[in-house]
Amino acid sequence: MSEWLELELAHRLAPVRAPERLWYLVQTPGPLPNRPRRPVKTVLLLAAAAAASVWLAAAWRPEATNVRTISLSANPVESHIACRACHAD
Amino acid sequence: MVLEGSERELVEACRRGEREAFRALFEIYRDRVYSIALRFSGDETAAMDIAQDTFLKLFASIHQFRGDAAFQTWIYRLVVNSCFDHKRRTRRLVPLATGFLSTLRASADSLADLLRSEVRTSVRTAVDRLSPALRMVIVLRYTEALSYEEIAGVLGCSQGTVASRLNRAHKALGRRLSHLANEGNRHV
Repeated sequence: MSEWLELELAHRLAPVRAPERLWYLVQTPGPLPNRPRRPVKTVLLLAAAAAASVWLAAAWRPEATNVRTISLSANPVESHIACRACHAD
Repeated sequence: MVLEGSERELVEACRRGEREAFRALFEIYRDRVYSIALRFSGDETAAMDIAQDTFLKLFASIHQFRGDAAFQTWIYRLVVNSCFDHKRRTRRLVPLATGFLSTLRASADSLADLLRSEVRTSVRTAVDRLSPALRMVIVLRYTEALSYEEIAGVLGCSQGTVASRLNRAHKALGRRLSHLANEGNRHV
């Protein structure tokens, strides 16, 4: 192993002083105060919302643009509109 | 019992439930426990969690300490187990993001600061990417300066296994940090 790596590891992994509040935590076990909330739930929620949006966008078909739907309707006025959608004047 | 005189008295006092003895024992080992936790997890919040867990286990089970190993070895085993437990409980979603965020947080007032920050981040990321077993051997070796024999005692494996894991860890780190080694040689 290179001497450079040996020195770098010894330097970067050197021991540190423990924060003073560690004793307080040991005396009063429980969740750490001011602990940053884990983002797992948020990420899952966002992923579910994104998936739902994509599914809704793919599933949504505006009826007005569906020519076949209009042409099959019983209303002759709407059938006329449907024909004009394909056959220009 | 493999204990120094004052430490033996402290352990006995802890067994009797003397609060001052717990505090004294805590003061002796707090930095060592926290350092291992921090260097293993790479995260201050996780390190506090691990250190808290270790001392709670220590105080709850000190009456089980039989004295057939050094007391220090026993404490090291507790913190090592807490580190592995914590690792199993929590899975980082994006491990590499840590390095990126550290770079963003780092002071970049000058080119030298930037280079130092890059080296620190690269070493941290390379250590983080080691498997827990290899990372723990590296931490015990470089943070606590334990001998092969002591590491083997803590991990409950042979010295040959310790040597093999260290060798594999060094090779992996050497590969991942080779670009920095070249940089370092150029600047020396």
